[in-house]
Amino acid sequence: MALTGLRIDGRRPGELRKITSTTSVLSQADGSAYLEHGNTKVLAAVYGPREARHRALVVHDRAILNVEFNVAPFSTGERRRRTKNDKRLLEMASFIKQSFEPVVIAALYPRSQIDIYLQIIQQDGGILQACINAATLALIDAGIAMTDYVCACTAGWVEREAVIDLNHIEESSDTSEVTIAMLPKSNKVTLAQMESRLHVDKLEELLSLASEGCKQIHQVLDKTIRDRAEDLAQKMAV
Amino acid sequence: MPSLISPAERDYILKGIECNVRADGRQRPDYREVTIETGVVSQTSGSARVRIAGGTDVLVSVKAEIGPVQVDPETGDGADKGQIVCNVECAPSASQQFEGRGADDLNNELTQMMSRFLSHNTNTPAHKSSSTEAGAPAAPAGPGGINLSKLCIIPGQQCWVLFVDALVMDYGGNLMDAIFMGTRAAIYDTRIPKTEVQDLGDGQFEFEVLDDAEDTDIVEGREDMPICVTLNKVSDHFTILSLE
Repeated sequence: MALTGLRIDGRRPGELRKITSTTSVLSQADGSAYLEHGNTKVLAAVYGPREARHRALVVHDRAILNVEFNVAPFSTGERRRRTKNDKRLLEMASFIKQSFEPVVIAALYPRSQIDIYLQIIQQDGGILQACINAATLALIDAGIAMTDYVCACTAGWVEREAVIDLNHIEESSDTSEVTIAMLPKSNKVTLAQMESRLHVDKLEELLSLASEGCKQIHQVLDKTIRDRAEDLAQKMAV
Repeated sequence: MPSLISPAERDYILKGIECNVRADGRQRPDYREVTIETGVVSQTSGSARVRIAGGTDVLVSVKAEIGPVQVDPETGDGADKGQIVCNVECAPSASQQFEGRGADDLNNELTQMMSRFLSHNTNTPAHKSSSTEAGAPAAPAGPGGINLSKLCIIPGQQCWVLFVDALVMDYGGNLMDAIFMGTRAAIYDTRIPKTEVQDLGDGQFEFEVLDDAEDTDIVEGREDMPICVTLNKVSDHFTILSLE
């Protein structure tokens, strides 16, 4: 943190990176979205609800969620290939699944399956939040019934200051970082994920800062969806 | 990708092709609109995204890293050459069949095909004799076009390794065409840092990578890289493949 109170990339502590998002970017998927948080770029695709791939997984009164998470080998500074069974990838997939399970109204689609595929194209910190936000857009684009948006945001302590939406440099400088996923309407938290130690007195501040961030993200996502809907409505009117 | 179409639909498509009109209004040899964007991933040495109207979307990235040269134990060949390592990955977002391990076979097949085209270079004397193509000795480079010798930094020791990664994000036919176009565009976009080699004597060498972003090398032979066009034979006519 410089004397001016600005962060390494010139942002203020509570400032998000620029978010760019579009929906319906893929031809095959039922719903898709592309989202950028600064230099972090994610592509999300949703298929379904459709017949479950494995009979054994079928639940008779609701749909099951399936999340697959992939990282492009060129997405990091050093090229690195991960196998499909990489535990880290599976863990991320299960985080994302957990954060959507309470929101998707699965009871409307009995005996079916909803697939969410996420692909990281470029990494610059905040991968989990970018994935959750992109998946929200893709699920809405696919027309899957949900009770609310799911907006995710990270917050962490960088050089004794609480900041949100950490980039890669801030993430790697030994920071305690928490990612929360929130439902902006009800203010409920569906995911809180943290890997490092943090003093309990400081948690409150981080959580409130992150939930502020979630609300800002919600506005951006909502605008994307509304613009898209307006665009579609106009095209149908012709 | 097999999809179900009715006999009437099938007949409509076939009769149309007979009359040189296709379902989307194109003639038989017409290509769909292709969009190529370069420099899309900032963390790479070169990248390109190719989109073919109607669905196909491929992102190709090239990363240049320094690695040891690989010498073929049989022929002793390769000591003065760089390497190109290819990898094709079909994301499940492209098709539901690519989920889990579903894309492995296709990935391997496409990866092998790309490596065969890009990393075999016949411009060294060792290969010239075994070259079966008649006019080959006159051509400066092999089927991949890229001059691998220029990627060598210290012969027998260090070289540039170009990692060419293709990511198939959406699938709507002409996959190979898109991958080749993307690879060519990404290699065109690639800038490799210049290196300075110092001779320390006794066969010892040392080199330094110059980090001047303005002063970089291009990949030599990039204009000779192959492109690929997929043709389909529908009854008696050849057609540039449209959708799957």
